[in-house]
Amino acid sequence: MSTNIIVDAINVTKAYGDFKALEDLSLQVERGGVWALLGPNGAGKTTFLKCLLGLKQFTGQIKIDGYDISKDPKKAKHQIGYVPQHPTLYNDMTVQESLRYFGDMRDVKRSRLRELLEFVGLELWARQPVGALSGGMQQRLMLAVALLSDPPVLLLDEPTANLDVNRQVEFRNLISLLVKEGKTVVLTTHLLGDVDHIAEKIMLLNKGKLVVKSSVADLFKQLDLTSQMFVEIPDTSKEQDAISALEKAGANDIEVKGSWYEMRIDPSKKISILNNLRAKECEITDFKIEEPNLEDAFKKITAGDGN
Amino acid sequence: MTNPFIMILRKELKDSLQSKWLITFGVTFFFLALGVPYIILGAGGLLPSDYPGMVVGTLVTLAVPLVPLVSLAMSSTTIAGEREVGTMEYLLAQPATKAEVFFGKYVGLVTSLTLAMFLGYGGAELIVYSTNPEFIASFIYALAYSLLLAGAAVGLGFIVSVSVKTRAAAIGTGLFLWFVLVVIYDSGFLGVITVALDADSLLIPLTLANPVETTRILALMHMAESPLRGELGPQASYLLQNYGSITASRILTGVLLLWVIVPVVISFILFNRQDAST
Repeated sequence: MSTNIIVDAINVTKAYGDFKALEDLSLQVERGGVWALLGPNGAGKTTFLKCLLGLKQFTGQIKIDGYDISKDPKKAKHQIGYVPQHPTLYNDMTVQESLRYFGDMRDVKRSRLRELLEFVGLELWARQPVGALSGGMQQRLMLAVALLSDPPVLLLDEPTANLDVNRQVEFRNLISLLVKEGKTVVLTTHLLGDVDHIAEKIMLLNKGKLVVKSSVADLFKQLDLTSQMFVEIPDTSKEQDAISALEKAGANDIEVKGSWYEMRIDPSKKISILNNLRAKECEITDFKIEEPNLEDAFKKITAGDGN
Repeated sequence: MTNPFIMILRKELKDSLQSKWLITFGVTFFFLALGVPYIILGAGGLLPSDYPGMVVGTLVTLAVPLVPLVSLAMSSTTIAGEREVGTMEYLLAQPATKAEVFFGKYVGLVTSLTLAMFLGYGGAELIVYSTNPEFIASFIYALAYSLLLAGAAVGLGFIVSVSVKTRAAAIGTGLFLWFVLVVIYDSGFLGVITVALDADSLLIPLTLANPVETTRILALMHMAESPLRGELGPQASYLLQNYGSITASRILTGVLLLWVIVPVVISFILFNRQDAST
């Protein structure tokens, strides 16, 4: 299947008694890139991920690369590589045995196993039992297993939540390589830092519903999130000129604190602000910019929901 | 592509055969089937010619509690244990159907138990056959009934395994079930119920409601030549009197086959209806 939509969920509802973990959720994921599935605890992100894998029964329809997960689960699951939050391979199997076991289920050639061991940097541990590996190594092995049949979609559930900082960086680098190869990666995370680092697009769930689906840059625009800019101009006699230059360049909420000018700006106007100040002969000795982040966006979207 | 059913069956078989439980079970069966006195008497040249027939009588009595104990202990934990550590969810996220996963595990476990019993009984049978071929049929019957009982107990264990969430709860429930089926029934439960309710007619249905009792009576009815022939008890005597040996055996075998099939079907329906993920 080669349409641009690789994950197509239509009116998906998952209920536990009266509680609806997912309510009439429809969303489409376009091919390629990293998509972050975000939301506060209980928003339904892990439930949705498990519906995509056919691990939970639901009403509605989910297609993975054109295959219906309820009607044609084997073919649909062939299109998915899954990395759960906690490593869940058999501890008594060796690294090599694990790859063979899951590889045989997916009709994978032996040469592919060696390639993957090298890709995740575990070739020296091939004969070690899974239980003897560190958490980071096990996570990399899970990624190798997920990649066995070279699936077009990777579903990662909180992939870096249990890794230390160095392992997080390593894991993100592996994901970036896979995206360059054309994979579509859908990951759930509550660590917004992850999203800032690797995801270009986000899907925000709240109370089982899709609230936002957008690129990160578009989201900031939609929410009117601005950058905070700080400029130091020691010459206090230039205060009026500086304020007029800043206002002319589009700065808002300008506050003067000693020699520092603090303001909200459109992120695209940084350079014109500095140029305007120079044109008014205001000597700048220092400046810094705080870009808007997803935490701000997240707070703004979920404000008033009691989350 | 290797069928996931075969992959899972192979793994279950390998895991079971590596488990100390099953090796102990096989060795125990060998000695149960042969009998320690055989070795001692045989060594002294004092073995009576009808010894194998006597052993078959005691063999069923000893196998009846042992077979369900091992079968329930192993089967009750197989799905619950994997669920607890997350490997079941991961397995079901692979291109495998629930039926392939479930029956791969079921057939793998039954095959490993069969293998253990074949080796245990089979080894003993070879020795018996070499000394007195007359009793080999009784040994084969005892093995067949033990296998049916193992199948029934594994099915019941699977119902437990799909119904509870943790390995500890599974093994606890499995052992409780064994206690009810073996110990409670064996401690005069049937007599108390029928006398208390003054309902002799309940005796047979209550017997058939327990695969362990059904197996015990079925096996004992086949021991026409056994010195234990006189200890059949009221249920077997009633069946023999009312239906004759052949019909009674067929009824009991049919009931035992139902005990093998029905629990597996029930446990699969439960497993198939559940979310694969907690």
